[in-house]
Amino acid sequence: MGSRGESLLQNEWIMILIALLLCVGGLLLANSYRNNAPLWESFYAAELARQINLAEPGTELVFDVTPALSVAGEARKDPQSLFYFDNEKNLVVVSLREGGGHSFSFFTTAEVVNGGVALPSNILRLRIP
Amino acid sequence: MVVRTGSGDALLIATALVVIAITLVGIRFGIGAFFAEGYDARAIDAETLRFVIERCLERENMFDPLFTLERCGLDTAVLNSEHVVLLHREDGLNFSHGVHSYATTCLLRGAAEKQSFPLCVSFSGTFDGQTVTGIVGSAQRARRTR
Repeated sequence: MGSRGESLLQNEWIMILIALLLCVGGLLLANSYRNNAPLWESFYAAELARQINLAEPGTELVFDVTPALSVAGEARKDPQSLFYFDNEKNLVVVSLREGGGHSFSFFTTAEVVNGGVALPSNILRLRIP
Repeated sequence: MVVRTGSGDALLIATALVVIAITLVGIRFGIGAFFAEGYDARAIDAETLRFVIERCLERENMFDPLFTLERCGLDTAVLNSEHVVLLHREDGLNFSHGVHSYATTCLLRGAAEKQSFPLCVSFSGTFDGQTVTGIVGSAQRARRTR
């Protein structure tokens, strides 16, 4: 016991274990980027924030969110949970995958009322009272 | 079981750790390069801010000492964190809000290409009979959420 050969063998097993963990980690990371979900999230968050910034009180905003629904569909996400508006922190939060999302701030004091995503037209309706 | 870790084993482990670190960095940057670093919204955000500030100038006297951005429906907390508004009127009055250093960092070479730098828009116009020149900027990027 305790021979050099045994020690090397143990090192080999540790290396194989680490390599497997790396593979799993890499696959999980790559999977989260599938369909460019983070890019779509940041795009929708920024564009929705822009339209909210430009909107006058009493405006109704209508967006075709077909690409977002297509990306989120692969993650089997509920269409009504993709877009969230935090009026306290002035944040638009978009999440098209499990376990993550992107947010963008709007700099106006607008109170956003989320009318939800209408199906099958894929239309997101927002109201700025 | 007793494992004897001689200098040779230590060297082997150190080498392996370096290889793992390089691999991890490679995976991270490889995925980042392949899937791009995200949507660059600084220009859009700065242009939107310019539009909103011009709309505000048409309605309010932003150079009044009692003026607050809330009067134009703007949130000071958000504008303080990743935006700048600098206005100068021809009679010498100034208005400023946000991160003042952006006015300088916007001018740095390569700032427009780097998403970590702010991007500014300058404008001028006549409001209430006075010429106003201004710079507005944004360094806002979409943030990851859990």
